[in-house]
Amino acid sequence: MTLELIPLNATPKFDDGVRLKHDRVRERFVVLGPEMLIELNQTGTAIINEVDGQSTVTEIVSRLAARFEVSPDNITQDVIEFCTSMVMRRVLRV
Amino acid sequence: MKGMTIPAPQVLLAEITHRCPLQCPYCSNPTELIKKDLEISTATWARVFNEAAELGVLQVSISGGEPAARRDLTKLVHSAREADLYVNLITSGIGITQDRLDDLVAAGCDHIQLSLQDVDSDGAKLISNMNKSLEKKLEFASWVTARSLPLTVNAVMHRLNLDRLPETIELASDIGARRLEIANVQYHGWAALNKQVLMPTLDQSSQANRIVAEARESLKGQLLIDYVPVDHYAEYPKACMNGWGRVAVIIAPDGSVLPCHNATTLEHLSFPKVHNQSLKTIWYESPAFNAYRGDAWMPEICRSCDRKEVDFGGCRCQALAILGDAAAADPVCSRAHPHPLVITTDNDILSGALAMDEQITYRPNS
Repeated sequence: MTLELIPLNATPKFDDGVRLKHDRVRERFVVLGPEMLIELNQTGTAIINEVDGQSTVTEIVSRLAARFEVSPDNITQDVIEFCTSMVMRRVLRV
Repeated sequence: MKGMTIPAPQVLLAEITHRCPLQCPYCSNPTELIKKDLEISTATWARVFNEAAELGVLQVSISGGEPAARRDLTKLVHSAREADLYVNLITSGIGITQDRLDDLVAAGCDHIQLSLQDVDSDGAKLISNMNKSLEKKLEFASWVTARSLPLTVNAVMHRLNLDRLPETIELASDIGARRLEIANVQYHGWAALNKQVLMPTLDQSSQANRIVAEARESLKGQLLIDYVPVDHYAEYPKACMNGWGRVAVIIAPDGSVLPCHNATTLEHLSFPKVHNQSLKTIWYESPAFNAYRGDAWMPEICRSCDRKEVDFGGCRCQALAILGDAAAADPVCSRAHPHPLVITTDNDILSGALAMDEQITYRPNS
């Protein structure tokens, strides 16, 4: 498999056995999966909180753009790259 | 500890029993197995899971022995999940029926890690000392994937099966595993007793490194491969347990709280039990957990080494077993020991001369 970026019309969802958790002790969000513990930074947390298994990448981008008052064009690439990296690590699937 | 912040633990390894239907000669349980009548109760485990979550533990691996040897396994999984822990079940797959698997899923089991002795049926029998163990495991694996439960295959590798590494990777991929752990045997405890039979040759070890690197590339995004190379052939020590008392806490079947599975071999330390103290007190304050934290205990060559934050000084059990001093530099380290102690003392193994005439020492079932 090559490192192809996922398309804008893809609908990312959590892969089986993967969930998001708020880590109260360390005040952060983490992704938990099979022998997997990924600490998310603020950007990652914001993006992954929009993943609901229904929304396309385009829809996620437009919600984030509205929320942070930025142009969708400015964040599209970041969202695509983040989601792609999560797919490669089998956190998300499309 | 003076001037040092102790991080909260993230991972709990709950060894709920040492009983097991298999008898693998590299079992990570100590050579002195804990008997059934000393195992802690369902209620004690439930309390411990809650204490662990409060302390900052995010993941629990429920392991053994074979955890299914405990009849209350489903209750234990349920209480771990109730504590909001991510629940990994580490199993041989032997002794779990389809109905029981359904109960485990309903109780909140998040992920199953299945051990694999060999892709060859005879090889699997030789190691597990059980007929048809491979066939039983493959059937169990199909039940797991049919329930959309993520499956990890943990393939333990050694001299007798390392030549079948490509087939092992292929099998893991074929049965729908999403993770494969290729774990070379760690030569402690039972495995140390069987080192002459199990230690791979240097050539096997380098071949394996290459095969894993290629497979990781070709299976990217499909099968995640974790790899534990042959420790004794490495240039630097492994980051044993990611550092003593840094990330993981182990609880033995009798409630002893340990920084690593093998820590009971460090007889100069005394390990508290969950009956007497809270997990929090044990983690932060017990002399045993503080013994090898930070760098104050290290020999000068480690304390001044730029890798001390990478491998945390390596493995204490191995230092004791091979050098007779638990605070010595890990015997694997090529900086501390310019003439590698582990390899030069094992020349006979390197040449491959001894392997087949040696007897296997199996661990007992209980």
